[in-house]
Amino acid sequence: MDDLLDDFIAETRETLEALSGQLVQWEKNPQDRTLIDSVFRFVHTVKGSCGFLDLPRLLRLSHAAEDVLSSAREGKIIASTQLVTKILAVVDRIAALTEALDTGRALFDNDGDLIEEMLAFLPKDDVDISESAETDRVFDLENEYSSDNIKSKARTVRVSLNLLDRLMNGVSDMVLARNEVSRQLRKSQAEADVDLAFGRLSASVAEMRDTVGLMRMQNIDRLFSSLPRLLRDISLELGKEVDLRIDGSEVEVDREMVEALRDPLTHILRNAVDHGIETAAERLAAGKPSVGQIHIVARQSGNQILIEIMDNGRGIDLEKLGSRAVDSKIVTAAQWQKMTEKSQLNTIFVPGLSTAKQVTAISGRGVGMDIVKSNLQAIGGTVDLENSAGQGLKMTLRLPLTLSIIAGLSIKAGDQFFGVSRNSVVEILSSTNKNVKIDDLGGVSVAHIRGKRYPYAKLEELLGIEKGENPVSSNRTLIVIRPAIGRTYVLDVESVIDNEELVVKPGAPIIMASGLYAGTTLPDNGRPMLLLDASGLGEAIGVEQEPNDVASNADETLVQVAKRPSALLYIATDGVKRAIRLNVVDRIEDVDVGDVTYVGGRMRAHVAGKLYDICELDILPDDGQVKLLRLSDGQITKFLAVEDVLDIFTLDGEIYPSAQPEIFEGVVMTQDQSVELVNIFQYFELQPDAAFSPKNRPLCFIGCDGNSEWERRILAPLLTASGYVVSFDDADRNDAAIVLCRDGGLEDRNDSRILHLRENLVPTTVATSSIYRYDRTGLLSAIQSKLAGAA
Amino acid sequence: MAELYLIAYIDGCRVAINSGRIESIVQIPEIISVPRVDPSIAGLFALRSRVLTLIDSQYSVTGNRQQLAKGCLAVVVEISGHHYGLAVDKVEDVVSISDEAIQKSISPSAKWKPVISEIAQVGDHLVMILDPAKMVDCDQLLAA
Repeated sequence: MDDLLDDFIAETRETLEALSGQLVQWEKNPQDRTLIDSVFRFVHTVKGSCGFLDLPRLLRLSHAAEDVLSSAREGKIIASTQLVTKILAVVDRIAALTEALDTGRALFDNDGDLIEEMLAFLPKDDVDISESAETDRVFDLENEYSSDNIKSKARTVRVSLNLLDRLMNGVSDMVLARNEVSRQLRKSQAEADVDLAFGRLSASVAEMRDTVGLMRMQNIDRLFSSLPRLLRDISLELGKEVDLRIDGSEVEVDREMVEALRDPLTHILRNAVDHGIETAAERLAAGKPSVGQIHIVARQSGNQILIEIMDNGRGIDLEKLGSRAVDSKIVTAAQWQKMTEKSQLNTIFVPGLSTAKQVTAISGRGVGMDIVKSNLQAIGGTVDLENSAGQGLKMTLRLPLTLSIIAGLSIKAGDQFFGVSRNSVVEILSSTNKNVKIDDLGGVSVAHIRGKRYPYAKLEELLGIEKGENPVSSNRTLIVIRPAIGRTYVLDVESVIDNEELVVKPGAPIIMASGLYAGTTLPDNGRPMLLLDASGLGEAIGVEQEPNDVASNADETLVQVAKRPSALLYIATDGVKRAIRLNVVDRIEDVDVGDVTYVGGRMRAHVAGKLYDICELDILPDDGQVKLLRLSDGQITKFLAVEDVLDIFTLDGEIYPSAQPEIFEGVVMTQDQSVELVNIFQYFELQPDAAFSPKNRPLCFIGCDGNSEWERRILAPLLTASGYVVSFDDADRNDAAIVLCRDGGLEDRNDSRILHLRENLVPTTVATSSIYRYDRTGLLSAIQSKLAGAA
Repeated sequence: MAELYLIAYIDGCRVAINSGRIESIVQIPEIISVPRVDPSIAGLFALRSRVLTLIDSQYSVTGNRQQLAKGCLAVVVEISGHHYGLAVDKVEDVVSISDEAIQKSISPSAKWKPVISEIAQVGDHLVMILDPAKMVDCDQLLAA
């Protein structure tokens, strides 16, 4: 019996969630038979089950609702807004009673009133008839059931969360044990067939971990399905008409995320209707349709989930916000004047501020957006605002794909390791970088980085731990951290160890109470690690929490700095310092020598179950690890072997042309040294790819007379590397998509395919457009635009 | 009604812990210290794939930190969703304590009082019954 009751509760709860959206739609299309039917089916199911389980209150409610709905189905009454409200009240009561059944609480019994209010909508003489008509209805219903159920039901079983958690813990254990076995195997030089068997085991463990990970995922629709109903209630209360559109309900998110998002989303919706959407009269006066629009879109982008909430209301009135902020003593009038629009907008996240004219039941109590922000932050998310005054507001919530796995950096301070979320890291610098200067101002330190000042602290001192006894190198590492709340600051650590995905669990309350930690994690080495809380550390340094204009200006400059192209300075395997454009470098990985093999004519690394090519690795050390840069062009991933990684710098200086453009893009200056900037393309061109088969490549004909050394040595490799087929044969000229020639090399100026290359940087002789022959980018883009023009 | 209790030693004193709350008794692997938190936290340790918080039980009682090292014994308990290891000197026995054995008239000394729920008679001896939840109650620790 208890099992049956549990099933009933779980089933009713699930159906209710799915139903709430339909209830609202039904109100808009009262004549929609399918909607009435699904509500009817719900109450009918409840009625059937509780008759069997002997739950008289639920029986009475569902029976009455069924009567009313049945009349609506037959068209005897019209489903008006008032009627829907009454029916919703009954459905709500059913939900409340179901919850009460689960928790064992008592619920005040005024069901009679609810039922009477609802039955008042029935034509008087109909009430009695309904009883006798019941048998027919049931018959009718069963037919509908059979046709509906066949098409949609996916096979599922209900599993308790507890069991799921145990399963996941078990799999994590297995992964740890596998890693341990793998270490032991490597030590003991096991036989090949043992390795093979272990490889198989290892692969199936990995697959199982992925599958279990998927079990945590849940359709975001679970979250969204309750929103139409919520919006309906709010808009009725405030007397505003609002249309809700939801897209992207199929996006899958972590089960816990659904719960964590519920409150913030509710809050944002309330705010949008209360503050954003104007009354119908105001809207018409502003030349907008009288019905407000709220559009919610969810989508997945990389390892983030984006949820956008757009309304076409009045947006945020910055002037009003400003005077409110000044009144609430959040900023002074002078500060407000100097703030950028973005920082002005962001003051809505400051506690104690509200733009509502008066306090309503829904919003305007000055608690709101700050809660939204801190709730989001707790799950590693951020919120962005896009305001168009008078036209509406767009909020973008960015969330990590799962709650429990974050991209993190592991850092070393003293003899301990800590994790820090990569989201909050702006950049990492070496303390020897000449752009960095640290001033000690009697206990308080300030770091100057490229002319910007940041609060600065050593992590060891902040945490009160001993300095490491044998630091690996005398250089320390500076991490510029921008927490979700508070100012950007610089954290000085002994070194950054690794970049890894960390499975984060909340720490014990007694640990979290310190405010310095965001949780605990257990990396593959089996040693627990504490995850640092970026905001909490900032607070500990003494970074003030008020967003002030100096800070936000600094932030913006930083963003600009980050947007300029940067390059990574490294020592190549041949011992030479080189630079590579940072945007192709995914990350730095240390790969065990055991995972690197020379097969198929190339060095390849075995990483996470896949083989990747390694460039520039000729000699494999006997043991230990090799440092690899993981390069990616978005589709293809390759590794580039390096001796060591030194620094990151911005490419703001001039790039001097290189003599080997196919290998080096040019020469750049950093730290008063000139280093070669490698041509990234060379690493990817080696990849035979279907998309790059010769047939699809445009043909470039290079016309030249006599001395063609330059064309053959420099131009041709560049073009080949860039995905073109090159020909010097006059016979190919007619088929060529592009014809290239040096000044004076070719006649026939009317041929639209011709691109002229000139010897000098500044055009001298010909009037027609030509391109300096070492202007690599200019040349390639000119070819592309010619091709695009021809197509 | 009698329940089973584990007899363990903290700061040389015999205490009883309700066995229903105990998940296991383990030898602690490596301890990772947690800087800047309440001194009753001796650190973190890994038990299978979980991270547990190790409580320096002696500090909770006496205010003197104990040198805890790899290999020392801990009683693993779950308190409101989090797992803790309570460091103990040694464990002795599991005994059954019935309701009648509870001695309401005796109260523990001031330093033990915050963590002791009752005192019971076991055989010829009196033993304090430890409430693990009180060892990790943040509010209480912060108030202290």
